[in-house]
Amino acid sequence: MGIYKEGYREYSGPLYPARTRFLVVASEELLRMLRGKWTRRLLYLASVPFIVMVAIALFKGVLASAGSFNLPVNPIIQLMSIEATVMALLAASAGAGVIAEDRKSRSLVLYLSRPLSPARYAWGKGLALWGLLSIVFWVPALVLSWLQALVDPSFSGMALLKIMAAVVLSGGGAMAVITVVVMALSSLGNRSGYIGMAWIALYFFSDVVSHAVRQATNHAFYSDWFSFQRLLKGTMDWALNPSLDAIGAPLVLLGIGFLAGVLLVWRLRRMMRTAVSA
Amino acid sequence: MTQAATNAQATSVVMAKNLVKHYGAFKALDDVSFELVPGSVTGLLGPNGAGKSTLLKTLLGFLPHSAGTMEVLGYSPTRAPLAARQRVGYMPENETWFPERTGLESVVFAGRLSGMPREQAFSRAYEVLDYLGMDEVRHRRVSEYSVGLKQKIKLGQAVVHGPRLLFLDEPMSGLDPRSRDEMMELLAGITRSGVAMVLSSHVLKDVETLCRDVLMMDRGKLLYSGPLHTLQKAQEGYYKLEVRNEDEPFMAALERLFPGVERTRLGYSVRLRDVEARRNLWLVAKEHGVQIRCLTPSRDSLEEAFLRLLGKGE
Repeated sequence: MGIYKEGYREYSGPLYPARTRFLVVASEELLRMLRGKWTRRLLYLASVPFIVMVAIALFKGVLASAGSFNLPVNPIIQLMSIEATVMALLAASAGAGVIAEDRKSRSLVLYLSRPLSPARYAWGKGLALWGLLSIVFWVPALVLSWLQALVDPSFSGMALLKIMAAVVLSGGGAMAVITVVVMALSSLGNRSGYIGMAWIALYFFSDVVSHAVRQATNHAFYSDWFSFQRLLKGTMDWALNPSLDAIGAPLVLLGIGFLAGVLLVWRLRRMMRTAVSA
Repeated sequence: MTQAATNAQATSVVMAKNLVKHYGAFKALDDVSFELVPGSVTGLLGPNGAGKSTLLKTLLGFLPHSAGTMEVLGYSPTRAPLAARQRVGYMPENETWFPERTGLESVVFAGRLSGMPREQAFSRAYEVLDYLGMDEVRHRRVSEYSVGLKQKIKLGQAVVHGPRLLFLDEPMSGLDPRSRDEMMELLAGITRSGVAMVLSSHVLKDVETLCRDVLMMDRGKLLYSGPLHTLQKAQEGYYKLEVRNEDEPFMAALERLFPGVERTRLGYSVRLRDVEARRNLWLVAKEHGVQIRCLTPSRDSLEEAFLRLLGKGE
């Protein structure tokens, strides 16, 4: 019998608590991202430096005796620096459409007319993007540090914990900032291709700007703050060797994240106001 | 009294009292008060800029109101928007769909966003899509659907979680006559099951066919709130007159005897205050050799009532 042919039947089954419904948004968004051809290719690409670094960690003794390789002094930082580039491309490929695609298909109103707050919508979308970026940026670094501890007898448990905490803190935090920035950009339009290009331009050209500032100011300490790449590296360095002198990079990164968050909230509120037209 | 207790005792599905919404200095809702009872089917009418969007946005909890009180299913949409939306379905006007999903996936996703576990969401989605008459097509992507199918999917998403109140925004928009009839039947089936419905539409004929009550707005003010038949009865004393062989002298006599007589598409609209006036009409017709083919009490069509009320609002 059809649902309405035998009279209205109110749904009386179980319901997830409202506070966990952002997980539905997150899981669906992650699946949408993984359906992207370029996203999958970039994920394969990201595995290459990880495999190389793992091989180096495992065969470090053999490679050192062969003398034909310059072994990385800090393989974790090295890996995260390489993966940061892949991450930036992945953010463009998968993250640009995180809100833009909903704007394009005008589905925002479908989300917001459900018992789901705009904040939880954003949490869900953000969690999916953060998770995807984390897969390539800091999760491999965690695995690498654990492997290093396994194969290197001089590696103490405390040292491993310290490195892992630094990787989680700097990697997770940096990814949260990048996620918010990309989401804010994504909320500005409905053409994910252009938004992706804007993000790539912002990420890579900021390094050019930083270089120009460095030249103009004769290597001023703040010149690195103009570059996303240098800010990420600075944050990782600071997390591994915390000092007041190096705290500028993580603070600037947090500031960028805060400003992007304000922009995102403003855009979501505006989108909510304009969601219904009768 | 707790919010849940208030909800349990709610006798109205929507209650608005002296609702005001300001956009800066502009009053988008001006002292709007009305009440909708469970199972009511209400048309929300008004020209562009009347305040329909603002009213829907405030009722859905998208916008805070500036003054007054309102409740949706016993909940305040501003203080407990999620609780209110748990039992509310909304079908938007615009062409909208969840990207890269089939019809079935879209309805399931809508159910899951309302908190339904995956199995229950699937089971309800199948029931809803059966009701909507969407068989194999449910496995195709929504972006490939015709307008009619997209409208059906929007309706499916709106009802999958078993709402007690439905807000429909131009549900017949862009449909061909056959799909229109089909959608009307689907909506009528839902209303028969006791779900309250608010239908915002510019097509007055649809409202006339489907709705029992009307909310009529203009420039933020509620011009009328009540049963449709009361609104259409409002022309008491007026008659529709159709004649044959009329001539200029007859028309002149008609205008002299019944000031305010109007020519309509099919004849005249004339005000006959009492039995005496009706007798005079027959006498005038006999005198001028005019045959009266039809004399019936005039009831406004919804369109006429709408225009009359808008005229008062000016």
